[in-house]
Amino acid sequence: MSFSNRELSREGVRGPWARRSGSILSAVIAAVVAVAVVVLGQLDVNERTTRWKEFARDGGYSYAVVGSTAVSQYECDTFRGVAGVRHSGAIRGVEEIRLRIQPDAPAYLVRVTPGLVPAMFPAEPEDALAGVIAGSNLAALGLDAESEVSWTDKTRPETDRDAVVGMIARESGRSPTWDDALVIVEPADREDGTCIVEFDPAASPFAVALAAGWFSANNITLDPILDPPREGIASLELIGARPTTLVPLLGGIVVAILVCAQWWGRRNEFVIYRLLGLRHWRLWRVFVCETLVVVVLPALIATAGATLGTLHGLTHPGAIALGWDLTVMFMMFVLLPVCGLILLGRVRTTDAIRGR
Amino acid sequence: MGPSGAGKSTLLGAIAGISDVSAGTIAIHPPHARIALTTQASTLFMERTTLDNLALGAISRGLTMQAAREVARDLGGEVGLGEVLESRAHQLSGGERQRAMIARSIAAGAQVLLADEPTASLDLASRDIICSALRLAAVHGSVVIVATHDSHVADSADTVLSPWAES
Repeated sequence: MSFSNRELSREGVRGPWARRSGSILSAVIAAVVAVAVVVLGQLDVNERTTRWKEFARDGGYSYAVVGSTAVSQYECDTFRGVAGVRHSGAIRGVEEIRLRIQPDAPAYLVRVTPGLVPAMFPAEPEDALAGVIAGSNLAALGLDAESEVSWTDKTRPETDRDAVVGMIARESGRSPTWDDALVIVEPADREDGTCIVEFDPAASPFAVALAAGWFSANNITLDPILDPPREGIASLELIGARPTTLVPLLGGIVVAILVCAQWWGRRNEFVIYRLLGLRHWRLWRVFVCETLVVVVLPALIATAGATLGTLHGLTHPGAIALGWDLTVMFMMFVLLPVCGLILLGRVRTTDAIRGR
Repeated sequence: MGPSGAGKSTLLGAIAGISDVSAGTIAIHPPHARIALTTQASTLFMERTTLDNLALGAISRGLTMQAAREVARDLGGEVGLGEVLESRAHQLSGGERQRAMIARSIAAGAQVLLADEPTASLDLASRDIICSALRLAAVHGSVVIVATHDSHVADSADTVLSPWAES
């Protein structure tokens, strides 16, 4: 006869109960680590998500399509119908002009195909973007919707052209040039133009393949509009590369060191089980129960509390990060009984009895 | 019996299976006899009560905590620990700790009780009580082997072996 499994499990509770101060310390540290994992992870993910949204808003997924041969405006403009492409359109031409109402102010005349205008003025509803659009800075010169505007080429003052402004666009957010521009939206034709494509973020990993398939005759490459691409873009692929992925690892190590140090300090107690005939490997049950009581349970409660506290701001990437971080943390905790067995497997009974 | 450093503790450790044996064999009959070892140093759970420490012996032979406590309470009374059963082990005197370890061994149903210097650093009165506890173990069916250089303990033994003295 030897220890029953049930009583051995209970020993895993009696031990921490008998040494309450050490057990409470371990439990508090485990709870703090769990809260840190949840809160720091969420803060990190939310901050990265914000930066990612800013990146996307500023045109981070926009590319200029550069072909070995000319890219037609028509092909470019119709590319927007492809799944994964948010906007696509061509710049037909850019001229520096002098407005009659303010000849000294910098201004541009930009002729674009319909597909490009929503990418230039993302704040405007797409169906409103047609005809002649004035950038937001031109409003300061006295232009407004329905007003007539006239201009000359900067290099040829004798030219004289005019048009009726359809709308004044809100600030572009993409390029200051657009805010100084008089934009004329014209149908695409087979002429070549500067093709600008904005992809859905989710499709960005496949951007090159999508573009290469569409512009198959041109042997194209994609040049990012934002140069260089900004750091810290949180995408689902990069969630595993956050600095806060170290929190569960480091926290787990801190808890492991603390708990193992306590077990080591109590090695003469564990040796008593051996003196009472318990085989060393059966101690796993004691270690498992002690780990559950002193580490896992407090960590679970703290995790539940912290998760409830941050639930209102939990995003989809945040939930994935949280799941990942908690898995790592609890995996670290699950390894604790193994550490305990290995640690005390190295203890000689006679040495432990003598306090060595 | 033997002088300090003669190897008495090593021999007991070898019989108990916790010391390495470099040569020779140890034959125990029956082969899987329950062997308990009490040492000079205390091997008690210091933060637990005397009762719980004694009960652990009974638990180690498969009893539930409740049944083990009843056994422990009886044995505690028999070895003179009735007054300190609810005290924590760290509050016990050296003699009381020795008796607690012996009582735990009895509770564990030890067929062989190895006692290593159980009376070291104890006064005469305490030594008598330890000897009584060891005899109690024998009454409960244990073969009691004591390593000691205390002639007072040796006097209460059925057989005294002093191989070191002969060599």
